[in-house]
Amino acid sequence: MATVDDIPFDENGSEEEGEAMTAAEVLGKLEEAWLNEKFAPELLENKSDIVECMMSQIQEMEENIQRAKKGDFKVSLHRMEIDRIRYILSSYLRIRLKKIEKFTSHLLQTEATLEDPCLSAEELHFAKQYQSLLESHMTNMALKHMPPNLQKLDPKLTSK
Amino acid sequence: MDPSEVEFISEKESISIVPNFSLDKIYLIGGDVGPFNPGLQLDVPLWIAVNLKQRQKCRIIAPDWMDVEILEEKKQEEQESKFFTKMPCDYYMEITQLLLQHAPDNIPKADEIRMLVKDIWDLRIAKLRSSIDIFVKSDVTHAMLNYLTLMELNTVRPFLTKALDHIQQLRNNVSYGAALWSSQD
Repeated sequence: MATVDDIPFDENGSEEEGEAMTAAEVLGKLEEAWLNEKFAPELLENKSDIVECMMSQIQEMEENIQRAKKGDFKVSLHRMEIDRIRYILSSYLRIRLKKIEKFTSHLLQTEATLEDPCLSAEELHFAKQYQSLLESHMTNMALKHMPPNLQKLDPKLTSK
Repeated sequence: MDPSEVEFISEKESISIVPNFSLDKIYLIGGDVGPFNPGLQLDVPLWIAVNLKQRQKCRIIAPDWMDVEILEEKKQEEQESKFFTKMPCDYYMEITQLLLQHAPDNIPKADEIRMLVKDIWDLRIAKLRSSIDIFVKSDVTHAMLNYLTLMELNTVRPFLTKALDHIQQLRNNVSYGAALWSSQD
């Protein structure tokens, strides 16, 4: 089973040999990333190259299916595989989003100081939006009604 | 992790089937499968096998280890050994479950196999529970367990890690006294 220890090994692989990998290998990497993300308490580095590669594979396959004859026996198997991969993909991304929601302000703070970002561009956008929504919600619902000296949200003092 | 997700992972394992239709090689993202010829045995991922079986398009060949004699030996070995023994397949429980559910007619002596696998599972889970009990009661910081399968680990993972966390917290509180208790929240 994939563990967190496996991560350093594929770091080079996924970036330098990204082009040369077969679809099956990418799928294997995606599954590994999915399991690692699932069992790690913190947000791991983003694997957007793998995710994007798999998305384009799925899209290509779907176009092929469109072209295929209706009622072809093969189509149902291809469709089933797409569903399986899509499940892994969405489960993976959803776990990441859950973690981002949990550690929003911490992630946004450390993101600026890190050399390779943990969040993908989309995830960063999500985190920022989530943060601002959360802050405005807190301000409108509670902080406004507090005494003036307590009206600030200090990320160091709050758990979120 | 949900048991259904463990089952999902186990569906990648390959298994032999005998199809009753013919079809060229199909090029799936996860690798090529086929070609299918009626009456000719070939290996496919388990999820395809189950799907084809559901559509009455193939006969599944039980894996080599799914045999009453082998499983009985395994059970004996498991009973005699103090430790966990190596299982013939990492996903023995899931595969047995899936095959017996979808293709009981293709598995010789399905009922006996079901009983044996359940017995082995029970033996191993009992062993796992008692070793966890010893582990938690003693003061050691780590333990080594070999040959546990993913499904077995999953039955204890959520509870064990949480419980150890709580124990750790309680221990901290005892050793640092009440002062820490109030400042910890």
